[in-house]
Amino acid sequence: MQIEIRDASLEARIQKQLEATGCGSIEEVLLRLLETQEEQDRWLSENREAIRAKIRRGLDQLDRGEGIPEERLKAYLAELKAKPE
Amino acid sequence: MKGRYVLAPEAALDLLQIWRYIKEQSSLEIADHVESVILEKVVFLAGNTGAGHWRKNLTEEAVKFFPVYSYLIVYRPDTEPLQVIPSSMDVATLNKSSKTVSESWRVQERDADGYNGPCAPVAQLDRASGFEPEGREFESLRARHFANKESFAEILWRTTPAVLAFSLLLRIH
Repeated sequence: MQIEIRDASLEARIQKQLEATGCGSIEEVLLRLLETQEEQDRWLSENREAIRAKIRRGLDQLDRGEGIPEERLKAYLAELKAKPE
Repeated sequence: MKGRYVLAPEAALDLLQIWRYIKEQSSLEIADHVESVILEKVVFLAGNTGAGHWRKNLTEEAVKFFPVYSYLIVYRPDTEPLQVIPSSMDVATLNKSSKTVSESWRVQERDADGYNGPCAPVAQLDRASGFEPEGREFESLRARHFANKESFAEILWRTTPAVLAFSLLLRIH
């Protein structure tokens, strides 16, 4: 398999990973990233139904117009933080 | 100024949960910082909806995912006005019949042992930092605040099973 990276910014990010991690090759960088991704995917897959339900609840709240606008969020969070746990 | 995003109430509660947990485990300053970085990512996504990724193997909803630290932002890229709704996924409270958070965590700990311990969250941190250099700020914060405590990365790692899926539902202007 041959992979050609045409996006210069993506190439720069891969290069940055290569230098930062000390990986010996692009393949090693990809392997490390895939391992991380696959571990995350495994957990997400195990909890898929709960995640779907969570997303659905959030979408329903938005669709009902219950969303908290950015300009009100700070005050909203401050109010929540002030309440006892 | 009109807001760039709107947050679902459920997401706000998740933000609160993250903030409280980190505050309890480390400090108010770190908790505030994490919250601000998450919201900065939300703003970033509001202007760059193409940055996220579809996860059709996870949900058929028209939402995209984007990582920040060990959380995931889930957002709705095709709606107006801009709505940003982050929420963490605490599976223990989402679905009592599913594996508990602590059980899930123990599984991840065992798996992590096989490849150099708790490196996954650091890798995710690195990845999240690909867009902005906030990772350096975290290093300095960690150095100042965790000299006698567990590292911030360790906290994030332990947090991961509880709040990995940080759901951010985003409507763009």
